[in-house]
Amino acid sequence: MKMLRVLGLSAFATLFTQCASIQSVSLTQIPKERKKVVETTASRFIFLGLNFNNDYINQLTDDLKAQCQGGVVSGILTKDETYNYFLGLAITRQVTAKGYCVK
Amino acid sequence: MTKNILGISAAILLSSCAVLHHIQVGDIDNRKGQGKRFEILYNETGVNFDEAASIGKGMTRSKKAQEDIEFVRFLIEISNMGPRTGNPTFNDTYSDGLLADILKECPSGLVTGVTSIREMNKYPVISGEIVKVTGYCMSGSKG
Repeated sequence: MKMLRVLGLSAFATLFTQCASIQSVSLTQIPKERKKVVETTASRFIFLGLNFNNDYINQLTDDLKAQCQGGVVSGILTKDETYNYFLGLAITRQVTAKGYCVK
Repeated sequence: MTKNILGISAAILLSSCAVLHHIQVGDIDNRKGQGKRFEILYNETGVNFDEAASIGKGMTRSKKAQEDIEFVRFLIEISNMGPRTGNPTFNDTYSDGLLADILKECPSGLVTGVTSIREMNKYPVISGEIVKVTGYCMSGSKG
């Protein structure tokens, strides 16, 4: 009985554990000069799977351009991640783009 | 009856869902100014045969019909094995004209900041399978 209770509590605890997973990742050509790192993140909290558009990712390129005026952003690592908070009912989708600004 | 109709209507209204499958941000050349932003979007209808079969089975009380529907669903599923994003479509060449369309939007060919997005608009049974490419067209001559 005690064992069952412990198992039940453990299972219950795991339901509230954040679980991170990567949906996709990509990398562009890496430049020789890698002094300045530029990074931007776009994310959205999605509850009960209700997400009616993906417009939150539109800002990524503009953010990188703003951080590298007059230069070239290269070696861009794009990561699309999902953070699952509770049984997939509450998740955060986060896209991170990180690269190097070469002037 | 009213409760059932309201429940089904709510499920249909709330079931539209945008799903992001893949995104890739390309190199950005910011040396020659802002450039003109362009966006190219391809949309093809996808079908979720699992949902279609579930609805079909729910609409009939005949066990034989339900078994037949399940068998058809199984045949379609094993014919569409393999990795994919989103639902199967009847045409998988809908985004093949991408390069030509980019050159139409940017005749100079000086394209930078290309972001490739693969997403899906999910509805009951069907879905919109979307390939979207955004970028910036720089003016000037090549080389």
